[in-house]
Amino acid sequence: MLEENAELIGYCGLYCGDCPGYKGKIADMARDLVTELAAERFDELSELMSEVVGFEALKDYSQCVQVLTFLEGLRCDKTCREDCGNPACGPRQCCRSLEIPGCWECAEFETCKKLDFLKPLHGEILMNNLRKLRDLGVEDFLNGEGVSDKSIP
Amino acid sequence: MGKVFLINQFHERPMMTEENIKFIAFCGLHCASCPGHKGRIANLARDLRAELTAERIDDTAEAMSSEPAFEVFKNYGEFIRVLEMLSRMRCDKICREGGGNPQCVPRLCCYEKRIRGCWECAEFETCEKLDFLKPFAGNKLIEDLRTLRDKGVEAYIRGKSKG
Repeated sequence: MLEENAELIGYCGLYCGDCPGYKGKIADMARDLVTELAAERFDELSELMSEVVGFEALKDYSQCVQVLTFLEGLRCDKTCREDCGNPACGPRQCCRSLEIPGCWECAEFETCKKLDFLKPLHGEILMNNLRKLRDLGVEDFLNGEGVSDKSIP
Repeated sequence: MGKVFLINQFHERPMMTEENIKFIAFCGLHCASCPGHKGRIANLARDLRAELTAERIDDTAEAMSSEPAFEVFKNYGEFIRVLEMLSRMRCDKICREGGGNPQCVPRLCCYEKRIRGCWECAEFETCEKLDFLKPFAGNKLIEDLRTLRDKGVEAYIRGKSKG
């Protein structure tokens, strides 16, 4: 079990098992809602209804469907270590060339610019994960504070 | 409530009973066909809204939207407003049991005239009281009222099941 979970740790220290894309629940729910809206021909209905007082929010129905369709596709069929996501991911390519299991084994991760693109989304979690992985090791990281804190700020 | 509608003064139809028109609103809309009555869209929207909150997507969508791959999240606010509207789109009662707007004019008019629905009124083709429903139902509203008047409930229901 631990080995399986270790496979869910991305090279950058983010934890795939915590990611909505890996869990797929949001993608499933968005898919079901898109299917039901199509079955009810809600695109036509929303256009008519948006003219009625109280239903003005439906003027943005097409933007809503765009986001829903995007969420429907928010699904990883592989983990980071199985090459999910961007094939040109800087941290992953770097770890592979350095032949290390992840950035936490690199002395430069605290200031590494290759990780910067992840910070707007993941905030402090990224560095906290890498420090825990470096200081505690993979096993204690996985047994540590619960998966819900490993990826999303 | 329905007991006052024993006499259909225009088109007596033995097949039209309070039981088989239970889901037909006074205006001719069909509660049973309405997403608000079925509640599936409302349930799915409610559950997705809760999951987005649980996964803290609300908190991260704005930051994510600056990434080209997540640009669509620039519309996240509009998306949530529509999603919340969809999650409220739910009737707990059908029209004939008093669901919807208590001041609904066609319903009050039908009560007053002691008719089972607008299809039993000679004036429905041009009645302005029905105008506010036309954005929802388009021409289908008057077509459905004609079907109810001329062919009865079964033909009306057949038309509904065809979509």
